[in-house]
Amino acid sequence: MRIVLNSLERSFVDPAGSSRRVISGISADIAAGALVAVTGPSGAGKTTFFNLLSGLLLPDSGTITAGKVDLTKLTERERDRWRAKEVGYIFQTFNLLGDLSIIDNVVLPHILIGNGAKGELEKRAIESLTALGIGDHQHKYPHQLSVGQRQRVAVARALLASPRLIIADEPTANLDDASARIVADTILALRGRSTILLASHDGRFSAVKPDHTIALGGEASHA
Amino acid sequence: MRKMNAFFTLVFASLKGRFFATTVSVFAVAVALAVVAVTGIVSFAIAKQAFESGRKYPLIVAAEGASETQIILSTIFHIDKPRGKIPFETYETLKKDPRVTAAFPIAAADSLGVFPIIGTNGDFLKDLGATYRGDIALADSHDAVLGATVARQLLMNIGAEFTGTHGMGGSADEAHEHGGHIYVVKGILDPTGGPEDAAVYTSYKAVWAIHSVHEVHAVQHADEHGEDHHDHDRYHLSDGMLTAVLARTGNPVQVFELQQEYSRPGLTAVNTAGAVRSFQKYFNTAGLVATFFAGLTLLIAAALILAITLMALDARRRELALLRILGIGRGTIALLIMLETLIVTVAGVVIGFLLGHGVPTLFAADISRLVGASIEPWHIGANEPAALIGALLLGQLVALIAMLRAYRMNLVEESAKN
Ligand SMILES: Nc1ncnc2c1ncn2[C@@H]1O[C@H](COP(=O)(O)OP(=O)(O)O)[C@@H](O)[C@H]1O
Ligand SMILES: [Mg+2]
Repeated sequence: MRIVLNSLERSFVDPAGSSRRVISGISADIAAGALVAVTGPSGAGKTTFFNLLSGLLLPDSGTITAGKVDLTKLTERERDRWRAKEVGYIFQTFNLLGDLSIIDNVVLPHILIGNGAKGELEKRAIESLTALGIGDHQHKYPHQLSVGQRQRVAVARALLASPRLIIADEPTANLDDASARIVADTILALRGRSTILLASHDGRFSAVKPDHTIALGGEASHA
Repeated sequence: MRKMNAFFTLVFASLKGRFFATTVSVFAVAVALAVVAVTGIVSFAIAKQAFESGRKYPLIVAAEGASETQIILSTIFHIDKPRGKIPFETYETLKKDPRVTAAFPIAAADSLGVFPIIGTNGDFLKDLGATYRGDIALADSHDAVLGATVARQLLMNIGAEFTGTHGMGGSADEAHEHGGHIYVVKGILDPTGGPEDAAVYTSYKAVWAIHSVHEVHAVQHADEHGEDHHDHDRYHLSDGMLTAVLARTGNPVQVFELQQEYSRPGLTAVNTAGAVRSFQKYFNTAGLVATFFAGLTLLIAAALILAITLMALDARRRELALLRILGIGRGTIALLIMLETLIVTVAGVVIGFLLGHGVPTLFAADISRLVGASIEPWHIGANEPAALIGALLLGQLVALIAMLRAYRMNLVEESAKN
């Protein structure tokens, strides 16, 4: 999916009451299937940038054209639907639902958002979990898995509906080596098929040359 | 439909995940409603029994000093100790009175385990109109007739022998064994649904026989220990004494006349129907008070559920934010929260109903004995429908508050802050 960003701006009002511009004048034209490295120190606005691109937040100004739609023109419900269909979001804190089994964690959200039939989704989920090396754990609960195994579950969930946009926000931070490698390889293998936005300090990714780099943080200013 | 299944899986997983909070919430509602149900069942049973007694024995003559309620409780329901005694002639003169169509002697003082032993005569038993096995004439002072519950619970049949303990419902410690007088079961009544199911009947003469022997012991006993013998003697029947006489007249005016005539020193004459009416008022008030407290409990339960839900909502911000990131809409999440809360209250209402009627079903015999009237465990009391509907409405209200709160939560900003 091609993504065109036009002069994105986003500020936050901090608790003290002063406004802080986190995203400032970002423009880019990202080809479908490209691998984009989003760089910048902590607090630079990488997560904010991803939230804008997934339709979770709206920019103060500027446009985000993803495929044929301008996200900034959609209602919240439409953005929710768009994100459910098009985006696979992997984040640093492995957010699984503690009350659901592993297989339900992967499949249930997709059933709820209408991404397919249960049987078909479950079949694909088991394949995916197996490929990620945790096929045996499908009936366990998140607390029974290691941190690395849980992140692999989150990856399986994010990729289940073959999203055209993959957002990976520090996906391998704090993971054991084996899990980090599997997660990195799985994401990178989708290059060319899905557009990938990646923020990571992990050396495993720096070995690969991205198609684009979006550097954040330098131009952040107080308004 | 697939979505519905997934939705409910999520709802139940979350309720199960908070098992303790869920259980406490459900039972808070259930207990409040069960109290209303049981109150309704018991007061209905007592009211019905009291009403029937008023028709059957419109006049009761007992000793002076007891209230009308106490007299009805002890002579009809057998759930209060008889206070004082009256001479046997009271029975004889009432029986001879042309205005009286039927009169029965009652001499109660003993018990067989938890069941009261009522000294009376065969006429009284025949007048109950119950079907029975064996012989219920109480011709001999050793003859006994058992109510259906007594026979069933004590596994006694015709021919069985027993001795009574002194003082009604007394524990083994405080009860003196009347080792001397042995009763033989001659007849067993079929279940009637009335207080007679849980009573043992003997001849009033047997009660006299025992107590004339016992009084001698009691005097000696008191002398040795220097206690006040008089108070101890209160429930003792000496020869020729009764605790009450039940009477029926040709018409209500005669009840009134007889009540006037027999209200004299040493006696209390009770117009049963009149007493029952004030009795019922008392029970209606008691029922209302019980319902009020149950309502209060329900309100506290609702507040508890609201607090638990809102706290859980806060604790679950991250999980809910995750659902939003996955593309699940604000409305769906709000619906999820509402359903969780609603299920808790509906479960509480259902369990409360089953508990409030199921427990009385299981312990129907014991409760009936305790209140002296046969209960109908599935009777829906006057206040129960309102309590059930009130609980559901309250639950819905709490669910809506939780839903609104969930809908308004700014989960995305929250998740963006890390
Ligand atoms: N919802 C929000 N409200 C206020 N400030 C926010 C919010 N989200 C992010 N910020 C602020 O914006 C800045 C950038 O945050 P973030 O995008 O998380 O950076 P990064 O992911 O690069 O570490 C931080 O200073 C952060 O505190
Ligand atoms: Mg971040």
